[in-house]
Amino acid sequence: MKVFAGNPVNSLEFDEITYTISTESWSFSDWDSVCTILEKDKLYLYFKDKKYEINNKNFLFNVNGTKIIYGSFYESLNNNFYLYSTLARADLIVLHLKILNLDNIKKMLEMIKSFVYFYKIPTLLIMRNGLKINIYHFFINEDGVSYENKLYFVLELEKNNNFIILNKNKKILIKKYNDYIKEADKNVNKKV
Amino acid sequence: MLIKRFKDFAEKHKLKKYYNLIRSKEIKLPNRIEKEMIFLNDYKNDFQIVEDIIDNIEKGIFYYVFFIEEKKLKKFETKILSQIIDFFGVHVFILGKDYKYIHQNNIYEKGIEILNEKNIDKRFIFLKEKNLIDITTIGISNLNKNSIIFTDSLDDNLIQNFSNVTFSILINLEKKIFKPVVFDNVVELKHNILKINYSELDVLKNKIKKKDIFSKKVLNLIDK
Repeated sequence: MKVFAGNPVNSLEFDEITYTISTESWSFSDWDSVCTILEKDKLYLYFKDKKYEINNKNFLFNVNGTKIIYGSFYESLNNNFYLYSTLARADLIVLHLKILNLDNIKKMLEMIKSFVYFYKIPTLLIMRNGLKINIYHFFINEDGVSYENKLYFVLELEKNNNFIILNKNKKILIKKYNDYIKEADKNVNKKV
Repeated sequence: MLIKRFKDFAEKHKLKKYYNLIRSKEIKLPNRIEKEMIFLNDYKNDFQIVEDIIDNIEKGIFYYVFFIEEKKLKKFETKILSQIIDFFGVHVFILGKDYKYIHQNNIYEKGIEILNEKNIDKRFIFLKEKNLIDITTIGISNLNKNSIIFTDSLDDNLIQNFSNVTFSILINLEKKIFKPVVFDNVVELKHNILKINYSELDVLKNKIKKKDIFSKKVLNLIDK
């Protein structure tokens, strides 16, 4: 599947784009095609006359058999998010970050690179700083993981064929998750 | 008082030379244990371990890590060491080709691996290189409370990535210390003493935990 990410003006020169991730509040999509649009602060998915907000409840979409998962700031640093994406066999991760301070961008990119290193899912990062929008693409190559920054990206997505093997530690992992969830619930109820 | 106790102990176990070493120095017991401080040094001989412990126990340091090259520790040496360590009540890790963890008269050879279910909650974890790549291990380490991981891997890139993903501090056999990139001041090494500032780490970890909606979903998928 061909995915375009960036300002839709640049998508005119490419044919057969099935899915557009627009960084503007509009897109050149046909009536029956799918696109994601960045409106003000939020991402919306448009399909025919329907509009879905991408949030904590709607984050995993199946477009023409390709699974795309969306995350924001806290998800980008959350190991559970990446583990879930791998188990759900997502083909592309799209992260949308709003960043106020430009100083720590490199550290942030290095962190995300580490997650891609282990979970091996191609990742698109839409980083907003005020009105400026930067798009980064993390991809796996021979040396490990690299990332690049361009005005727009046209990606040929392949089906994710990585099977995850959870070895005999699976039982420990389940036990740990149960404890973790209990602890997390306690923290949520606490008033700070 | 302590020396008197040690004298009895030394007589009982025929450890005269260690007794002489300890008698020549004044030892004060610390007021509290500094859990965030770890002593790191190269291994020369068993005397030096005892010396290091005597010098640093006043500061409240109860965790000692020694790096040993090639040479293996003799069984006899480790037995005596374990008794002395038991006397002070400290934890000693001897890292080399084979890991050793000595605590309270127990010697854990080849370390405690993460595969060992009982030891999963320990603050100190030993991981082999093949375990570092394993997604299951990453999941478990990430859920652990602040842990310090020892590894035999020499692949800097891999260890750094592991440290970033699990928010943990890693130490390898080359005495290199790895910390997550996002933190500047988590680790401080001065005069062989490693000081770890967990509070900064905890703030981010707790924030992520609060906003985490994926743990339940992951659990459902694994359970299947």
